[in-house]
Parts: sequence; structure tokens; C-alpha cells
Amino acid sequence: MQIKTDLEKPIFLQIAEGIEDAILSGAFEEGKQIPSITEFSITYKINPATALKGINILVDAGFLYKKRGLGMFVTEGAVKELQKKRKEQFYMNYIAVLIEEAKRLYITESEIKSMIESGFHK
Amino acid sequence: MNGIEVKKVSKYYGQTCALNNISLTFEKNKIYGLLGRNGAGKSTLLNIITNRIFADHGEVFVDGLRAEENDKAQSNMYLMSEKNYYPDKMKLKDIFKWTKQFYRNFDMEYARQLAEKFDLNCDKSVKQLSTGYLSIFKLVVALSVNTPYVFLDEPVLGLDANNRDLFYRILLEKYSITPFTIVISTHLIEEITSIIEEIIIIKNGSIVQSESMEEFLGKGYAVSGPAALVDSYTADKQIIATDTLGGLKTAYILGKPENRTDGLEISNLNLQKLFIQMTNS
Amino acid sequence: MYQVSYRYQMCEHRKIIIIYYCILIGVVTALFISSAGIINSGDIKVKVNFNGLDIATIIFLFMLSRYSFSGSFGMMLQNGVSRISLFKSSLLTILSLSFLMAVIDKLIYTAINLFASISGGSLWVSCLFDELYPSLQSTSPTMVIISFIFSFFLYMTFMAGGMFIAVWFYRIGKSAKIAICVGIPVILFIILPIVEINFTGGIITSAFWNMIDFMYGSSAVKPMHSFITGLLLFLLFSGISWLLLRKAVVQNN
Repeated sequence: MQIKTDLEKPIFLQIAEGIEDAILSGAFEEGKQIPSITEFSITYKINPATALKGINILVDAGFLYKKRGLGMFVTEGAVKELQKKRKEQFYMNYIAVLIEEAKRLYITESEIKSMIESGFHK
Repeated sequence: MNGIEVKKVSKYYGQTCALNNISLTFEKNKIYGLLGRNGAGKSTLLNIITNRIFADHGEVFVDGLRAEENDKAQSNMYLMSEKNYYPDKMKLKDIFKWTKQFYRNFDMEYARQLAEKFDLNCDKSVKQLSTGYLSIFKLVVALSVNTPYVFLDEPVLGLDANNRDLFYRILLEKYSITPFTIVISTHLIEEITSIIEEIIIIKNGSIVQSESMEEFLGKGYAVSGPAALVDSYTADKQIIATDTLGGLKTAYILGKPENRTDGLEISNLNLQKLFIQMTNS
Repeated sequence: MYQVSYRYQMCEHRKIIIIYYCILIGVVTALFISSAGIINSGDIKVKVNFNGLDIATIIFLFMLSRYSFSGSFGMMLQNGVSRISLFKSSLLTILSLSFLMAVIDKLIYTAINLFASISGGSLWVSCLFDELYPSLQSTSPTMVIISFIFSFFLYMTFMAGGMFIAVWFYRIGKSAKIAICVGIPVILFIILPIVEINFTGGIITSAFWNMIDFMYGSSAVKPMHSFITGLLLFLLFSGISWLLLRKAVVQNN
């Protein structure tokens, strides 16, 4: 997970996505505690309010939950839910962009398909 | 009223106006970035708040108390300034001892720990310190006084990249554990972008911007593409500045981007870019 | 806050005052030994009269006051101490140091003179009080107390004067400072003598000395005059100092 201040994406979104990635990859396991706001803040040199905002997005979405006095934990079943959410976004985030660029480069539909296939077989 | 209120403050040096009718508030427990070009009036403002110089007009209140010539109000603030006001010949450990006398919440043990982290020798006197170590010494005091309001004027002057990194981490660690109001005035804008919550931009003695970072960054965007397309897009918009390279043009615009962007690339402005565009005269 | 500021100033001065007295005692001891040498070497009884040890203290206190101001000013503003608190603590420092050093000086004189009388009176030390009021020279307790009060007021006056010059020089620009440093000696030692010799025939100088004489009640043998003068000058210098200090700001911000 990396935070880039020169990126157009707001930092709190980068934090939220970074944690999502960590949950998906298993770095943050279901039912286990994630690092504290302070740890996020110091590690990525960001304002604690920003870190909190990023984490709260995931709390609101139900991927994380708060245990009073203990900290933040990954919800059981979060991985599955996240995969579902990411799949829904997959078309907009990747396919739409891919097709747009392909059109600019005059790459045909079949050419793309074969590229994808070869990518899967690597 | 909690926080620091600056009310209609003006300051003149002869004919030149250093601060022109400035009003602003520093709220409790927030980190502020005070930005402005050289001579914009940042240090003048901080010096007026901390009773080192006097405003010609206007007043400053600290938690409702008048700041001018008021020990009680002043004891809630600490200004780490570019210039050193500690006695040249005094040893750092003696300055710590005296600081404890003036600021009851000064944490001597914490100061010693910080000095060790930064490799600062407290048996040295102020005049034996290099620019970088003078900054480090002043930072150690500023981080240990535990006043509700801390002003840092050019805090990382002369610090190498490692020490700057260490400083930001320590600052955030301290702030996360016990929040306080921090006002950072610096020219190294990119380094504090992710740290500050609120931004104040001073230009020629006036405040041109004072709001949360998020709002501020959402204020403007850049559009780039073929010059003709960019021009037609920006026809009815408020342009801060433009760059042209051959037939390509980038326009920096205030406001929210429209959805209709065929053939144009829209990007957000980062703090540094926006700052430069807003303070260029 | 003025209490901390007071403690700070007293602590700051402690070291230099100890050094001052070490040097003073060293000088006196050296004089004593050398004067003893004179006596022992021949049969002639020599009496060495050393006066003005308190003039040394006056100069010392004046300089101390003059050169400690800007350092304290910066230190206080850095630590959130207001000008009024700095002023209060400075006055307190002046009173304390004047009192303390007047006591120490009296003790030193008494000790030396006691020692001198025991050892055969080879070295005799006198202070300004004895010079100004020779007829009062006495070792009676009342006179010792009066002479002590005299020193106390005198020290106070000069420390306040030092503070006044320090704040004044802090406020005015460098060129004005140079103009004053050059101008005053020029007026006093060149212009005034010329005027006196060619036009006024020494009236100004004698008027000046008469005034000093009156202020300190020397001819009239009235030490009370010196107390009042000391108090008035102290109030005058501190008053002007405050007027200058209350609008003083940190330099080249």
C-alpha cells in the first residue's frame, strides 16, 4: 500500500482502497484487528482525520467494524463482499477504459479477445 | 470561545502594508498549513499572535482572552520562529530547564528522548549548533512544551530528508495521541500536503484562501488537450492560468469539471500546483 | 509569570556577580600583600588608602543592566512573558541586586578595615559615602546603616540608568546609537569646554557641580538628599524605560 499526494485521487480514498486490497490479498485477515489510526497516520505521514475518514468508508460499507476500546476489525465474510463489489466495478474501472484506448489505437474486438486469452494462459 | 481568533488585523511597515485587515480562526486540535510566498506576511501574522510585535489595527483572542501583553493567553501558545531568541551561550539542557519554568507542561523526559532520536547533543550551547541542528533543537522544544497551540515557522529549515521524515512522523504520533492545534508555515508544500487538515494562503498581506484541504483541492482542476478544444471548453469558465506547448494547451480552472469532456483530459490539481497558480502575481 | 522572569534574571546574573567579587577580593588581597611588603621592607610607616571600591560596583551594576536587557527581552518573548511582566521582574531584580550588593560591599569594607586595624592599619579602604561626607566618617551602627542605604540608592539609580540606556538603544536605530555615542563625548569634552572658556567662563560646569553637590547633600552633610535624589532618579529612569519598553518589538522579523 502506497499513498501518493500528487495523485488526483483523494488520500482518504487511497487509504480505503489500500485496506480493501490488503483484505483481498489476505494481509488483513477476516476477524483480525487492523492497524490503528495512529499507526496508519505515522506510517503514511497523513493526518489522522484523513486516515479515520478512509477507514470510516469501510466501516459504513460493513467491511470493517469497531470494537469499543480495542480498535478496528475485519468483518467475517468481508473478502467475499469485497470481491462482489470489485466485480461490479470491474467493467467501469477496467473494461470501459480498455475499450476506449483500443478504439484510439484501432485495435479490433477479436484482437483484444486474443490478447486477454494469451494473458490468462501465461 | 475556543481557538485563536484574529480579528481585522492590519500591520504597516512605513508605507508598505504587511497585513491588510486579516480575519481568521485557528480551531482547536487541527493541523493548519499557513502558506504564502516570501514576504507575504506569514511571520508577521505569527509574531503578532504571539505578542512579539504589535498590530496597528485589530485584535487577537486566544480562547477568548486578549493575546496582546497577556501572560495567561501567551502561556497557551508557543512559536518556533526562524530567528533564535534563546541566549547564544546557554546550553541546550539549561534552556530545557528554563522552558520547564515558563511552560509548566513542558515534558523534560520527552524532550530528552527526542534529542536522542535526532542525535542532538544537549551539552552544546545554541551558538555551537548548525542551521539544521538549531531547527532540530527548536523543534524539540516546540514538541515538548505541550501548549494547546503550537506555531512552527519554517520548521524543517536545514534539515536533511531523513530528519524531516522523522519530524513529520513524531509530529503525527504526538498529535494522534494528544491532539493540539498546529500551524505550520513552510515553503515545502508537497511535504505537508497529506498532514494538514486546513489551509490558509496569504498573498501580499491578505488571505486568499482559508478552508479545509479537501474543499481546497476540489476547488480547481486542469484540462488539457488540443488548444482549440481546450479554448472552447474554457470559454465560459474561470481560468487561473494556462500552459501551452505547441498545439497542446493546459488550462487551470476554478470550479467543478463538467462531464462533457470528449477529447480532453481532466485532472485534479495538487496543492503545490494550485498554490503556485493562486499566488503567482 | 514575572516571578519566573525574576528568577531567570537573578540566576543569569549570579555567575558574573560571583566572578566580580572574586576579582574584587583578589585585587584587595593583592593590594594588602603588596602594602604589607612596603611596610616590612622599610621603617617608614606607609598608609595605603584605597578608595572607590563601590565605584567599581556601580560601574559593574550599570554594565550588567545595560548589557543584559536585549537577551532577557528575547528570552521572555520566546517564552510568552509579556513586557509588563519583564519590566516588573527587572525592577525587582534591580532592587534585589542593589540591596544584596550593598550588603556585601559593606561587609567587605568592614572586614578589610577591621583586619587593617588589627594588622596595623597599612591598608585603609574608604567608600564614596566617606568621600562625600568626610565629617560623618564613623563606625557607629547608625552611620553604617545610613552609609548602607546610601549605597543601596546609588546602585539602584545606576542600574535603572543602565536599563534605560539599554531599552533606549534597543529602540533607536544603529545610526542614532552611533550619533549619541559620538555626540555626547564631543559635546562634553570639546564643545562645552570651548563654550565655557570663550563665553560663559565656567558657569555651566560649576552650576553642574553645585547641582550634584545639592542633590547629594555633600557640603550640607545631608545624606537624606542623596536618598531622595536616588529615589527620584530611579523612578525617572524606570518610568522612561517602561514608556520605551511597552512598545518594543523583536527586531528584524
